[in-house]
Amino acid sequence: MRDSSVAFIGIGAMGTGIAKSLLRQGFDLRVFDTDPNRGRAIGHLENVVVANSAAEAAEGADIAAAILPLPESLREAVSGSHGLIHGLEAGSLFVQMSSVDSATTLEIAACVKEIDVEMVDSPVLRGPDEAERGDLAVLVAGDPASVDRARPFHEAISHKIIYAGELGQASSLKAINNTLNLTIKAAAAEALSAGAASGHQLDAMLEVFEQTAAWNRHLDLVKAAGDAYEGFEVTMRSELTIKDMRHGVLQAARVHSPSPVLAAAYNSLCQAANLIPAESLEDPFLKSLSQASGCKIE
Amino acid sequence: MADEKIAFVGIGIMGSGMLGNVLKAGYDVTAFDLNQEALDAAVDAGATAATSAAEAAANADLVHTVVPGPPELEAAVFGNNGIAAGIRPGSVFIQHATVDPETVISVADRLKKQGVDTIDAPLLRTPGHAASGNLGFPIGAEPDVYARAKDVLATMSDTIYETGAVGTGSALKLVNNMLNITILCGAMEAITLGTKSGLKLGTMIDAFYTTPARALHFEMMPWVFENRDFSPGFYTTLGHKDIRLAVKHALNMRVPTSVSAAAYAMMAQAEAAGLGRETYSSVLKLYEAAAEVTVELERDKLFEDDNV
Repeated sequence: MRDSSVAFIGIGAMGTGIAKSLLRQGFDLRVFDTDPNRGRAIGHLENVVVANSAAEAAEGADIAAAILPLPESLREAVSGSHGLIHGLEAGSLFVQMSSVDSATTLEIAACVKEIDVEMVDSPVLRGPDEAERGDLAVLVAGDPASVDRARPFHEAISHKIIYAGELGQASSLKAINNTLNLTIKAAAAEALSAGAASGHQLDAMLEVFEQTAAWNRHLDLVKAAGDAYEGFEVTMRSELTIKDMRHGVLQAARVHSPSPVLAAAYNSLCQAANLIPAESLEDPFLKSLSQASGCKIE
Repeated sequence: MADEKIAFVGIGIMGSGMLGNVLKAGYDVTAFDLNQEALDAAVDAGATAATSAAEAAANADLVHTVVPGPPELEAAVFGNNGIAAGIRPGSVFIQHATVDPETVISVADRLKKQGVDTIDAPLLRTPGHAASGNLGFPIGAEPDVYARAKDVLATMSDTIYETGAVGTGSALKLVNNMLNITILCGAMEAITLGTKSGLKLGTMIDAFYTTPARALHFEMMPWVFENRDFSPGFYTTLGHKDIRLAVKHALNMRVPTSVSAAAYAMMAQAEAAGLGRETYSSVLKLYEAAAEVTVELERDKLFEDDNV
């Protein structure tokens, strides 16, 4: 057991699983979420204290971690009036796991550096189920000594740690990864829709695609669903999916790396997401193509 | 029934492998190709050489064509001394090109007037699979027509997908290739963007492979990334043709494939840039040129031991 705690900010879909993995590995947590219900949902567990603010969560913590959906939420949690910087001590480590653009990452790192807190840029890969099992992959970037210091934390929540370089580069890698992921999904949706419009059954298409480099994880999940197929699996609401793709496409523009296919997928997602209610987990790509063409995949 | 007489028109990378397996199974094969070297090789392997496609088709019960795309198929069948000039009523024509459904349906309709039935059987998998007899065939044909060619097709393949009428085999092949090529382009954009952002290729692959960003092209062609070896493989010119036909077909079906269309534009540019006879992953070079960067692997192997 360690003799100091981790200030953990953000008990959402990912945060819950990550927090539980940390607890299993013997970390004490002081948690905070702007939604009091979320804090309460794990507050009953052993070695968890629910704080009333990020600053309060930071009291007595030598490590702080945050996993929040949007740059604004992260800024508020770090430098808002009751943010982490009002509670963290000099020499603490901040493990920043929110998926934000690299500019925001550098901004936050500079902010905590002012109070002598080191930050590692540490977004995570895979989803809520893997978070619960301690089976994420973590990307990490920053000063090597800080990365080392974050290792026990990372090992508690993941099976793989991937070092990406300087601060900001893990954020870039996350954005690029997610953008490619969704581009593959968009392409798969187009192929299935074109095939269905040509009269092909889903089974026949999957059998053929599986033989070639057209195969991908999204189709794996469709195949696994079998008769229970209801479209692509969606684990993140589209607002956040769009945010990740936007970061990827903006990164491409910023560094002057023309990426027309990734950009087309981003545009396609933005259009399609209008068809889906905000909180829904229905796949926008397939819905949009089906509406445009009248095709039905079965 | 190795007593069916076979004709093979088109003995390139795929055709030669296929012909080899048909010969090995004991069939009598007459071959024709515009390329004399290819024809000589077929003769060495045991085929009889014909002096034209018409002559090859004239004595055959089953006539196979393995040519790249629509113009070559049209020429092979209806050009001077083409298959249609010699093929006998009651024979079966089996087309293995990757073409659009409209083209194969048009060819089939015209041959039908001569009393010839058609099987639409484009090819899945690689030249290696053609040589080893392990191709996959999506088959668009009437069941009784397919039955006549079933045994011969089995000598060249290990998987058959009966997809419906003539044209459906081609549609499925096109859609498959459209997806394959679009994923490739997205993946090449991602690694170029990553490189321009200061990331190393191995790091990117490690990350992608833990998520659905895993594009199979990396594990299927590691030498492209390890050694910058862009030798074919699957020619860029064929990839360009296939995705162009696929996107056009999708539009005919009223399916707006905007992402695939962006990939089509890149493949067209790749061919225009002179990459036509390199492997289709050479589209990476276009992205690198635009970003003024070269994607580099920071370790010997694309994959570390625990990855793939």
